[in-house]
Amino acid sequence: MAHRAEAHRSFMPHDPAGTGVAVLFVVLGAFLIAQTGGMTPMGSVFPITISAAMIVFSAILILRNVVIGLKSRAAPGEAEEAVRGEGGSIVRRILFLLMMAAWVGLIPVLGFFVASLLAFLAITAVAIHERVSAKEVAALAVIGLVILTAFYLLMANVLLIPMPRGLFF
Amino acid sequence: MDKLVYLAEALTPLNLLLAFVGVLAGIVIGALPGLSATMAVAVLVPFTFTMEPASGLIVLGAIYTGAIYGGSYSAILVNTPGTPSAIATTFDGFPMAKRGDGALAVSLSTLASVFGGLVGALMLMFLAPPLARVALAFGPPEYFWLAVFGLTLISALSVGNLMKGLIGACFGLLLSMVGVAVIGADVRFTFGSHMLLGGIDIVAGLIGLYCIPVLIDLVATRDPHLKVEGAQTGFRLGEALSISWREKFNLLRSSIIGTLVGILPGAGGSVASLVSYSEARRASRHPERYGTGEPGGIIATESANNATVGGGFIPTLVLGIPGTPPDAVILGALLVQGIKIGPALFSAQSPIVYTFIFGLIIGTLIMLPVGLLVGRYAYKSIIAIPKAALVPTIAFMTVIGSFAIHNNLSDSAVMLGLGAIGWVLNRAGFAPSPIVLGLVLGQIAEQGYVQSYLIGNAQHNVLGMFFGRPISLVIVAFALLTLFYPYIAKAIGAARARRSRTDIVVESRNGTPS
Repeated sequence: MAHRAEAHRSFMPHDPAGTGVAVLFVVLGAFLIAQTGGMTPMGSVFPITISAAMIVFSAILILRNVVIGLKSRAAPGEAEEAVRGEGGSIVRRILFLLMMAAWVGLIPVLGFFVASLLAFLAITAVAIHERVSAKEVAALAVIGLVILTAFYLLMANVLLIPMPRGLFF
Repeated sequence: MDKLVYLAEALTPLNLLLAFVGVLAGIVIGALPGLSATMAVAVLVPFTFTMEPASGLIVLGAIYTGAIYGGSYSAILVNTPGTPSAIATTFDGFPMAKRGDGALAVSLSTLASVFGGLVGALMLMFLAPPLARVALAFGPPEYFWLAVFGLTLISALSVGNLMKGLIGACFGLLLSMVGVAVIGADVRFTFGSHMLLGGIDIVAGLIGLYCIPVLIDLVATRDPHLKVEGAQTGFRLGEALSISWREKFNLLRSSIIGTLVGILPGAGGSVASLVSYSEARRASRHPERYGTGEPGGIIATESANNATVGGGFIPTLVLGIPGTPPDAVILGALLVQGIKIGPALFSAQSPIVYTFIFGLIIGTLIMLPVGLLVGRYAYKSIIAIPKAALVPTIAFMTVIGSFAIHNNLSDSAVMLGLGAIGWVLNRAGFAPSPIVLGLVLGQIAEQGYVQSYLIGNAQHNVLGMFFGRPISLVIVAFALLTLFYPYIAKAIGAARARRSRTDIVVESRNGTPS
């Protein structure tokens, strides 16, 4: 029993995130090769070659990680650190991505300027970590307004890019 | 030296002013991610139609060279290349800025850009006709191998984990295949979405892959975005000059590579800078320092991408084939001005051509003071901006930059999606650069490969098509050398060590009294 427990403890998965992603890449490669069925030979030769190469490289990576994981008795602290990554707030990261998605999604609805102003202020709020005074908040809002207006005018009036309009502008 | 007459014509106050304004406008547009050199030139072409042909050309040349150089600012300061030509500048530029050497990095990039631009322009002046003939000898197999050569840089970029680099490159290559195929016109991997029909735009892809992961991590932590080293924010010009002198061979080699790649139609500054970066790394005594903030990396990429400006004009002016995308726009402007392009241009319309080349040289020289000043204030203001204002500003740039490529919001959506994927992959140890490299080189590689295959098949000599052409073989040799150089260097080092040990043994034998 003790022997089995020892063996169990010695298996530390090496680079679990990398292995997981490599498995996804194998699946993706197989899926893409399946998609080439309806293409002409000219159009499918390159995707098939590259997908196959991706599958082979991913398989090598998975195999290597498993072998290293079986062999090494990595210190638990080390492995944990590798999984944890750089640290920082996951909630803020997800909020930031949601704001960006909402930004791109709302531009056709609200118009470029208004959607950008709202998203700009929302992202500023996500990026603030310390307590800030009302004066600093006002300063940040003014900076945002100036930057947005300047770029909007540059794009719309100097570079003559047709800016998307929605309910507003 | 009859050409010097035209120098006087280029030196009129009006032309000098135009070159100055052009360089400044180019730098500003080039520094904004998403607004490329092609766009800078295209947007400002109509303004030149009212000018004299030579003056109009000088402005366009100045904008072009300024924009290519301007791309390095955002590459160094916020880790997002302003133009695709500056992709390789991020490898060493951003690590330098992070450790407080941003001002030095900007000065180095300015010096290298000016030097590269001068080499390109001088080669344009003296070697245009013979070099243009060489470029015509490049067929599909050569382009295919050139793209493969660019991809061998992956081995340099993914030190420690070649497999992840290779997987990333395959992923990038697959991304480049989304949309309508270059040959055969198959609709590939769009999954029924109209958004993906036009393919993944390279600029949208690189903004997403480089910028969004940086922003995501900036938001999550309290730490300041760049280290502020108060005493080290001057020009640091002397230091930059002495480093450039030390790297003089690198500087010259990269400028020549840049000019030569610029001559090849279709392969622009991005390919030139990647090829010269990998050559610089291979030739360096400390290749392991590349990618961690090595000045040589910035020198290689920035001199090469600015050399493509002069190089690209060689086929444009001599053959009427644009060497780089902005050249295509300038070619259009030349035709509007009534200039007949072709081998006779240099003799029949020499006043315009040589005035333009001198104008290009003057524009490049003006870049030195303008670049140093703009760079200094750019660096100062970037470190002065609080993070809570910087993050939304850069986020705004990514949205507006990806939108401005085709005035289409689907590019912004693609940019954001790729950014999120890039962040996840980054966490798992897959760096963004190999993916971007695959995306950039994918179309060139596929087109060259499929065309060579078709021609070879028709001639019943597929292998000969790929391996039987002298220029191809030279490129293949360089690609192999880059890929296996670490092993070759190790073997040579071991052999040397063995020999020196033998020498010691022999000497000691000789020295011992017998």
